[in-house]
Amino acid sequence: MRRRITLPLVATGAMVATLAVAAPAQAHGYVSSPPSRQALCAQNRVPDCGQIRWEPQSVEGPKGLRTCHANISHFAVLNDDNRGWPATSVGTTVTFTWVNTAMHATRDWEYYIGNTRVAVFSGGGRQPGPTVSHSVNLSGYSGRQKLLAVWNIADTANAFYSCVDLQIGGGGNPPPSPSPTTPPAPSPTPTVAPTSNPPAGGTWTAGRAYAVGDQVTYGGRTYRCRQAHTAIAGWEPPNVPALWSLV
Amino acid sequence: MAGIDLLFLSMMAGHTEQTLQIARLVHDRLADPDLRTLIAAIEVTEADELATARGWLAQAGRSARADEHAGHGTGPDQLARLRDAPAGEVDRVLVEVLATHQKGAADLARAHLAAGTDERVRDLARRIEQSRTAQVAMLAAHPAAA
Repeated sequence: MRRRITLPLVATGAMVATLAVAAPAQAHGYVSSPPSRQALCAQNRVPDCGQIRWEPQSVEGPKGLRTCHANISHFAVLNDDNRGWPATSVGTTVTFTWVNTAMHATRDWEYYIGNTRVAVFSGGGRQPGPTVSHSVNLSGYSGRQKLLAVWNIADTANAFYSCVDLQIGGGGNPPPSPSPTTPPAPSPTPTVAPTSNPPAGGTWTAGRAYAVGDQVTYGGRTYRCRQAHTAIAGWEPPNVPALWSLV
Repeated sequence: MAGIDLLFLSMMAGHTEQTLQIARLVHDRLADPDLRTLIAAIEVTEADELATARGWLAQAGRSARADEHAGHGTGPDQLARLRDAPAGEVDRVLVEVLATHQKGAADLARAHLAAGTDERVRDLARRIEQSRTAQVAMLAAHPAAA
């Protein structure tokens, strides 16, 4: 059995009352994209969901259920089809991403529409990473569909459940695309040759090694290196005061 | 901040605490100066990120202690490998363990960029996704990589 870690609470703020009802005691997983019903609650896109908005990863029940709430009464909102769940417009192939707050050894992941299992992926009894993505072909389906995603744990009797409302094919907008590669782009384009040492005041350049005391410009400002490192995207001087101080 | 943002911060705080734990296990024992430099820079940048995440969690009334430590990326067995690595093996084990660990952070951040709502948290996720992805590439290119 996995170590249980309770959520200690800071005894201030309006959230205490809600959190104290059922602080997540054990870690789990849920479908974050396309947003499952519990993700929509946790995003505040669907209001008045109750406790699930703080712990979308906690819809756990015995294996073999076909409900959205794992028959947990205080998550019943998830199984209510009349809550105006927005459906995500998708093509016929959909990539589902699970966020796992604990990497339980996995029997498999199953995807159902109605009583039909549309896809299954073996977990091989291994522990997954903190995220897992599956590409599921839904070409036999169109229009609005309620899909049930199930994560079957290998070493317990339980599974985790996520319902995802989809608008499949024709007419819808494409789903909002994740933008992991979009840089914040406040920087001028680096033009310095990558092998030479930066002259004082040279432009900050990813891939270059900087020593303590080196000075660079970035976004029109000058910074001095305070910790030796090789520059990388995400470590732009204004973002990492531990590496650069503003001159 | 919405629940989904707080959950991400909580998970990332736990993940970052583990990064610092990994760094502490090896930073005095690494042979290669480039690896020492990388680890030192990761330590100071992630310490700042952890403080930021904890601050936002505290503002939201949620404990700064991550509640979801149990399964985070790198298990006790991997930490034990680092701790027990003999002198000549520390660099190689660190490269392997840290690359997997930081890939997990990049994956979590990428998932949050697709699902998160708070702009400040999304900006943090963007920087985490970029920096960890770059670190994984650096570790993969290191001579100590398998």
